[in-house]
Amino acid sequence: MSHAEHAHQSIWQKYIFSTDHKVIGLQYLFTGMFMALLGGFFSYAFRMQMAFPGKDVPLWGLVTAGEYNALITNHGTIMIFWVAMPVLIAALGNFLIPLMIGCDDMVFPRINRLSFQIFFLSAVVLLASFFVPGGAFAGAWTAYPPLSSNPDYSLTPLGSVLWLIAVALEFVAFLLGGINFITTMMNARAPGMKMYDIPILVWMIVIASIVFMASVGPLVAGAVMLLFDQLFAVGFYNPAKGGDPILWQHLFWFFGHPEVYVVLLPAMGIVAEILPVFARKKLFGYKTILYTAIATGTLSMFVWAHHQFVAGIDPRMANVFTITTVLISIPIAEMVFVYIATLYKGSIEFSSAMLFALSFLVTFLLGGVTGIFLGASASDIYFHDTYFVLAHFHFTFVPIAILAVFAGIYYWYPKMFGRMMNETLGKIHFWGTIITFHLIFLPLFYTGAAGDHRRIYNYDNFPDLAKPYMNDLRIIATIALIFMLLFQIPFLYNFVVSWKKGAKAGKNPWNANTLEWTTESPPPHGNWKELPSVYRGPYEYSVPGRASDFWPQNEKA
Amino acid sequence: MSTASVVMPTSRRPALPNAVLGMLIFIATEVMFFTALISAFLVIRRERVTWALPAGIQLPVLTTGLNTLVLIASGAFLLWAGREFARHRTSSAQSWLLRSFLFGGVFVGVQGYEWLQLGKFGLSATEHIFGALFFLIIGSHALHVLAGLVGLGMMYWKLRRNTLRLPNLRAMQMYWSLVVLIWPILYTLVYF
Repeated sequence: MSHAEHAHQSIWQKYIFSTDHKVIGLQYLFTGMFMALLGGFFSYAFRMQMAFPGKDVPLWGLVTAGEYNALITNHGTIMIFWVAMPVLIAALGNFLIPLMIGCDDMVFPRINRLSFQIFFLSAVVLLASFFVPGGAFAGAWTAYPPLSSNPDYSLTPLGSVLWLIAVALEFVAFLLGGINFITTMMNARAPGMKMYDIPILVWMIVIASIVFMASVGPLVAGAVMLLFDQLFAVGFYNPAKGGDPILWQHLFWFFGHPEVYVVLLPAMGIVAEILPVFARKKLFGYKTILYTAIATGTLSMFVWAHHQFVAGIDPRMANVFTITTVLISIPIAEMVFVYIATLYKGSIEFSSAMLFALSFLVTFLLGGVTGIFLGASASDIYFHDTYFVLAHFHFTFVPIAILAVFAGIYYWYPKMFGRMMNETLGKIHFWGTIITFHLIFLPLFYTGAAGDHRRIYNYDNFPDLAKPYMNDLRIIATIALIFMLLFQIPFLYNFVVSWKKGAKAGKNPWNANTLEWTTESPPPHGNWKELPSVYRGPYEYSVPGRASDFWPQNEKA
Repeated sequence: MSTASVVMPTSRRPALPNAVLGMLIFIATEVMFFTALISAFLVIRRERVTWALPAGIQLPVLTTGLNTLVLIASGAFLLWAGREFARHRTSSAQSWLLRSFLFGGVFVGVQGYEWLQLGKFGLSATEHIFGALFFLIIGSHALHVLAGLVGLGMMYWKLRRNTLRLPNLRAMQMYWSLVVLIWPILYTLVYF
């Protein structure tokens, strides 16, 4: 398509049925942000029930036991499949990959549009499941049979089917997106961009996509079997009929654990883009980061059974998975150390994006360290299914899906909308989010270690756990959550108002090197008037002997 | 940016065309999908609570064996069609493509007939875990064959209208080869 044709499009073509990667990226971003608000609201409702059991929750009403289970289930499902995945991989991948590698669009633009349409449909199906008789699925986001397969147990005959269909559609959407990302990075790079000139974020999204593609097939197979069990009581997971319920756990976690790294790697990539820009220093150990990411992706395919230490698997197998699980902390720790080395002797500017990126490193480190207790089968037998587990994975997922995403939004907002966000509001948002986050989840480590089981609706029925000091910790966590949600208001205000009223950003407000900063903000359809060529790596900051402290990839000398 | 030095991206030649690379990634996912089905079959068979076939049912091993040869022939015809197309012998490519399509159609037709017969003799998915796995695995493959037939039909249509491009035919060949090559594995696993 020529540029003249790009210019004349109806609003309908331009914003709804667009094949432009930037529009599709923003569609994913807005859908993800909407779903994040929903998932956050769900957590508010069930946390209120935890802190003040049996009381009416403002804006919701009384949380019944069934509603409570549905809220937890869909909080987890939404935050992972409809927030972390679409925002980290699809939104940033779509918006940034073509811009960062210097091409005009994805290689399969129509498949890309189809990907978003299927994703949107999946979100609609999930939301619809709340309005069917019996209500939404309430068997936890891991959907273990028999709770998920037998409507007599779940009491949500339609909700569980819709939930499964929504998840399956979502996988199809990301399958199509992943094919696009990998092929685009391989085949559409700007002339001169060699393997080690590709920005780390692009590598991370592509490695994550490969891991996703390699692991999603078994879950699709498992989901088909689960669907047959739900609809026709076939019995793949029913021991009475010769099936095996543990089979689902294997198929689910074979995907489910790599999924953690599927969302972690893009988050690591965002941080890798932001640290050099705001430390004005070359990214330390580019190749180390790349190879450790590949090692992480590979190892992540061999750790899944650490979720099943108490499911009755062979203890010899548990030993093997303990070893692989502890092994995977090595490449990740290495990556974090390398990032810290980038900061060493840099001239650091604490912008909102940088603060979020740094907080990612700190909180994720805490999340990783607490994971060691769960990866070792001996201690996991005690900690399994307690709030310790819950606090642990929120200390990994919140840095990934919330902190790194905010870092990315503050950093690329000028490119997306052509205007700067307000830094003061950004800092209020940052401190409000990070302090309340710790106040929510640090107490939950403690209650978990003291014995709080994850799936309990009302602790009043458990005298040992309903002691005042335990209740106080639950109340602290809930109040902190309310404040955390309230502190998102400055962000939303900032996001909306800056769109029209922010200071004009210009092409390159951060003096960054990567190619997306060499075009207009926001980039026109087709991205560049003349596509760029690349002469060097993406992180040449403060090169000795140069007048300016940055050196864009497309500048010849 | 000095405009004189800009090299337009056409100067880069990717190692694999987009369609072929995209299909390669998709095939990797498909292989994992079938691996999961196979492992589910093996895991459940190992526990064999109720494994033996219901009385009076015999799997059509021989018919399906011959049918396997039909599918392999279909795959070979498509490879030959691609060879002819790459050498610009369009009418020959067209007739081999048609043969590939027809043989694929025969394969899935015979499979469908077998299903009807097995159903008539009482192999049920809901009463028997072997039946469930049989219909799941063979059915998944049959769906892939049907999707492949749609693809082959599109290739044929494009070839007749002279709009077929070689990378797309190559991608189709890769997909069809997957469908053909995975079948003998599923056949030996499920029928023996």
